[in-house]
Formats: sequence, structure tokens, C-alpha cells
Amino acid sequence: MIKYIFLIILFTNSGLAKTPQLRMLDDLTKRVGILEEKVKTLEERVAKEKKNKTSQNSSSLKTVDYNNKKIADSVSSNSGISSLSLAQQKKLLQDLSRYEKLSSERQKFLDALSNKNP
Amino acid sequence: MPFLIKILSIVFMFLTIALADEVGAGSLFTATLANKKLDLFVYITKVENKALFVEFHYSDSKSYKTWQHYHLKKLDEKLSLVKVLLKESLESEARLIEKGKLEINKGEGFPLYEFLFRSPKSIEKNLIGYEVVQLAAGTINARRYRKRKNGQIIDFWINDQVKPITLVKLVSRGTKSTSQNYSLELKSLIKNVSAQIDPDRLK
Repeated sequence: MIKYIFLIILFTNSGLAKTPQLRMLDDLTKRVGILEEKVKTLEERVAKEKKNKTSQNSSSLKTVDYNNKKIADSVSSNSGISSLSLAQQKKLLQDLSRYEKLSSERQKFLDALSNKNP
Repeated sequence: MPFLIKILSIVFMFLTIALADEVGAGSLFTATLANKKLDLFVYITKVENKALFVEFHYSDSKSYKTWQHYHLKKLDEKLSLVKVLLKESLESEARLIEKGKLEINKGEGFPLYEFLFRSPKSIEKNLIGYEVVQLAAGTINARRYRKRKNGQIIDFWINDQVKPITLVKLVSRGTKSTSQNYSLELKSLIKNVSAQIDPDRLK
């Protein structure tokens, strides 16, 4: 009986692995997962920044770490500034856009699969 | 130059006791004077038993940059100026400037170091309220004080947690001269700043 179940699982798994469509679905699911994590991290960061901006504790004030440099060496440096830089904001928007695109592709793919296998 | 020194003197008033672990820490202010904006950095460079070394750096968006390094000595609960070095460009050597040039002329403003190393109680009589101040650095609660002398009114906002400088905002108004009108606003806190002028050169 156990051998029979094992064979069924083996058969099912090998069948899935051999389907290009399912491999694509796996790949998309994996990529969406990674992006979901990224977006979640960035959203948490944005929420934290918003909270900091309205907080009234001194710990929420912007702090620039000069890493033992002299002021003149690093006046234009933004290192240590707690708010999101323009580059980070741009990256966040790009990630969100990619996330939406991949999520949409994944959903279409799942819909197509369920239509084929009602 | 004398005008900047005047601002610097006012900032000095609000310096409180700097702790050894605050070396390299300070504040970056946006100074507005005569419709011009300057960055003013104030940071502790060295702390000794009865002495404090503070460096000031002014810069604008163009090429103006200057550093002033102060050696202050604590005597009878008051700070006194020992020596000042001035560096006017990255390439130039720091030079000693006469102590007299840094004092505010009698009757023209507030005496230098009047409140340095003093307890906050010494300025409590000037307290006019508690406010939430919106700054480039963030929003923070602060105590608002007002001082008047010879037609000049200075409002300043202090938060003791904003160490080591504690000053978060200052607005000076006056009708006797344009130099009485200026403001400072905290842009950010700064940390781990190295001195441009070696404080040991002040000894």
C-alpha cells in the first residue's frame, strides 16, 4: 500500500516537473514571493518613516553619520539620513510595478490552468 | 564675518554640558540671514575636565566655507574663551584670531557664553511656553524662550534631548540693524564628525 502511494506521488511529481507550464507557474510563484517580501520590507520602512516624521521624540530626528570624516569631505553625502532617498523611492515604485505585473501574469496563468483542468 | 560670529555667540549660549561620549556629535542648522541661507554645523571635538572644544563650520551652496575652532574653559560655572582658530578654506592653514573680535559689542546683543554650562533653571525666567516645532529635521516638542535687549528680540526653542547642542530653533528680530534679523533651524543631528582643525593646536 505504502509503495503504491509512493509510486503515485513519484508519478505525480515527475509529471508536474515535466510540464513546462507548471515550471513557469513555479517560477512565477517564486518570483512573486520574493517581490512580495521586498515590497513588504519597503512598505514597513515607508510606514516607519511616516511615523518618524510625525513623532515628537528626539530619536526620530534626522541624523547624519559622518563616519569620522571631516565635514567638508562629506557635506553632500546623504549617508545616514533616515528618510528614503529618491533612488530608493524609484526602486520601490519599480518593484511595486514588477510585483503587480507578475501577480497579474500568475493569476492569468492559474486561470488558464483551471480552465484547461476544470 | 562679524555677523556670523554674532550668530555663533548666540548658539554658544545654548550649549549645555557636553559629555565625553558626545565628541563628534552636534547639530546642523540652516541659518537664514539677509535672505541668504547657510549651513551651520556645530559639533563637539574634545572634552576635558574643565574645558570644551567646539568646532563651527559655515558653508553656502557656492564656495563659501569657513571653520572656527573654540577652546572654552569652565570657570566658576561660566565658560570663558581661551583661544579661537579660524580656517577660511580647505587649502589654508588655521590661524589664531583675536579674542576681542569674537565678543559681542557691549549693548549690541547678548554676551558671549552667558549661559554656557549653566543649568536650564538660569533661563527659566525667559520661558514663554511649550510648543510643537516643525523642523527640517522632524517634528519635536520644545520649550520656547524669549529674550529682549536694545530692541532685539530673540525667540529660541530648546529640547534637552537634542544633545549635545539642545537648541532646535532660533529667531532674532530687531529694528536697529538688518544684522539683528536672522534665524536658525535644526536641519539634522550629526554624529562621528572629525575636526577640521586639530583641537590640540588650541592648547
